[in-house]
Amino acid sequence: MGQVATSMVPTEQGEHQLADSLVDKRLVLACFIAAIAYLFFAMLAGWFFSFQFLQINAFPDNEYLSPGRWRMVHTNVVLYGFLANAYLGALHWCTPRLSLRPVLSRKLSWFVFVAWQTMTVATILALLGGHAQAVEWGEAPPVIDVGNLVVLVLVAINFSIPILRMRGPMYATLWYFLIGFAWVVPLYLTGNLVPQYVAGDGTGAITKLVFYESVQLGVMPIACGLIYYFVPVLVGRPIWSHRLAMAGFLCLMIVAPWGGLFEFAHGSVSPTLHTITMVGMLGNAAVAAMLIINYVASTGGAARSNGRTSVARRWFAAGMFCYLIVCIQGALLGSSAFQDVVRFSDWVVGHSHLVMFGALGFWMLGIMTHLLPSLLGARCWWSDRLNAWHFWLSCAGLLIMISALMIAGWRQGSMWGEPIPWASTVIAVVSFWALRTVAGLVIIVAQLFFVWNILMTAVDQLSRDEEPHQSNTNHPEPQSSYVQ
Amino acid sequence: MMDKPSSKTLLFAGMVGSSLSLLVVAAVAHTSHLSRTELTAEQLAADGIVYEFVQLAERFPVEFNRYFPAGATTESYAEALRLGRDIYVAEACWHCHTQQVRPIPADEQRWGPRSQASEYRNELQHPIMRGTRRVGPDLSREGARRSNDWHLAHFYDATSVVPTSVMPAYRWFHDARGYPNKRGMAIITYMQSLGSWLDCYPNCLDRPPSTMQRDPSGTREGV
Repeated sequence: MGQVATSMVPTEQGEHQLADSLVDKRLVLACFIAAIAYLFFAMLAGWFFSFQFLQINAFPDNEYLSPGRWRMVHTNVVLYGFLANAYLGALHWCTPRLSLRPVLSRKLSWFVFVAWQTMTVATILALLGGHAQAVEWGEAPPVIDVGNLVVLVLVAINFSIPILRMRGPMYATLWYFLIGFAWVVPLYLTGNLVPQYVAGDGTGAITKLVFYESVQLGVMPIACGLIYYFVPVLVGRPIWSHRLAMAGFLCLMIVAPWGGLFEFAHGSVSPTLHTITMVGMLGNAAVAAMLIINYVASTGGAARSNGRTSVARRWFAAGMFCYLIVCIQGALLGSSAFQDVVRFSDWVVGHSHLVMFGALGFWMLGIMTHLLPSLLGARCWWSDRLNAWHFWLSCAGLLIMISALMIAGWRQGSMWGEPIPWASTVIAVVSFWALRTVAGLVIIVAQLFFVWNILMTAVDQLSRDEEPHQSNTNHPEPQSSYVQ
Repeated sequence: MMDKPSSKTLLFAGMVGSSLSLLVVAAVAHTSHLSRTELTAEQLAADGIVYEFVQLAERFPVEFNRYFPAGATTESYAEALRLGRDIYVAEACWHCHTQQVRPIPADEQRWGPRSQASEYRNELQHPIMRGTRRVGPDLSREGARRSNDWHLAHFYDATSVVPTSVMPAYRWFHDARGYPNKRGMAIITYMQSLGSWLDCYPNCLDRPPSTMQRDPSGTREGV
């Protein structure tokens, strides 16, 4: 396995040689641009919604601007607009490089891209128009679910067949991708369509179960695979232990799914099954520990040997730290005593933001920060300083937001047990909601810096392209530490 | 070194392992939470019409007959419940209100007996309305706690009846005169139906006895 680790690790040189023949860079760029546009839109939607908590609603008569509907737009656009597009772009970048084969069909890839944007826009319009389904993170009406399902099948086929046709050893990333592709379709089907038509009064159980399993077997495997690809690229040396990465893969598939039972901790689950739940949660923690250990061991000392740490690597480091906190919180949520206090409170909302933006979002922004200059045809970013501001403001905003939400949530949960009017529990946390709105503004401003940097990098590159005869002599050397 | 046969074995073992774990987890979910039968909205309506639905017909007779030409019948009540539930989902009410009284003292003290699986055995729980967050209180025992007029004012401007409320305004539930339109009547009916299957819970107002009486055949009569 050691040979696998050293021979299959992607290198910059190898990337350049294979890029033109295997990867459609325009498609990757399109996916990332869509992801960033949706991220910005989703954040504005969430920010708009947050003002309702301060009794500020500028459009009380307009149902299409109802804060409740925009709340659903916020979460759905984050998942299907930002995260899915970022995943799609990153998958198109690294899967062909690792499998040494292009995707099954480039035309299919473009069709998937266009279809996915169509479904996402349809989701937004449906939600604002007052058509929703009571499945959290899957509020799009069932007819859109069917469309999403078809597109997901096409994605799985387009990536999986070239991987399965590979000869020779496979790098850990592809193993993680395969399990993600294999499970995302049945889990989406079970989570979004079955509760609407089949499961009847057990839909709560099924929905919550599938939500947990979707994260464990759909979202996380892809994220783990991407980390095991991009961290060696960023650090410039192989992953510390390929064997550990594969152990994490097996643990993710065999042990972690049993943790889905924790959703029934308050139900009629027997003590034996509750014990199994805890084993599953430990399996989940083991996967996280293996990923984090591998990451730390792979990156340790690299900063000193390679000079200043790139912003892309900082995104991965911060994302890994958030992931560690998320896992600890996940273990706490497995405890009934802890759930008694925080269940249904803002604490869980803080936890969700830490997962979606802190861990997954930071990793995707790290990938984009690493790849976008090359995709735009530039040698480096227009401004490293703007990238640094993007990173630090995002971190600061997230830290303030989750701190405010978690303190508010704990306060809410504690007060619910006291014999006081419900309104008192609302008044007690309004100041934290105000802080959350401020934090949201900080995060939005951070993304503005990112968007501005992308635009200026593209404009700068265009101007260089128009002056090819001067480019070698008149332009100063890039100040950026990034060289693709 | 991982060669190809061992890779296949690995993939097979992983798929079997994850499939087995998911199957068992799903089976547990099934045995713990699923029931064999569930009621349709019509069957729920046949079990009795809540008094507040009739009161809407009496207070707004012209509007009520326009939206529900058959009057306060079980069919109209079923239609109102179904529409009210759809509005409850579309307006994301379930994102800020739960419908689950947890088996802990804090919940039972505030809202009454803990939620039972049987409460979710009906068409209106497709998917389940258990909710995800409590910015506002749990609503599973909201029926008959407040009057229709209170709900009407609350939907128009929540701060008019609860000054510290952070609930949005839903003025599209009202017509130009401030009377409830069909959506308004439906969502109020849905609110007033929640918990009507229980005999009592904290702060439940007395309902006129004529509305929920059972006939000798075992089904509840309408009005």
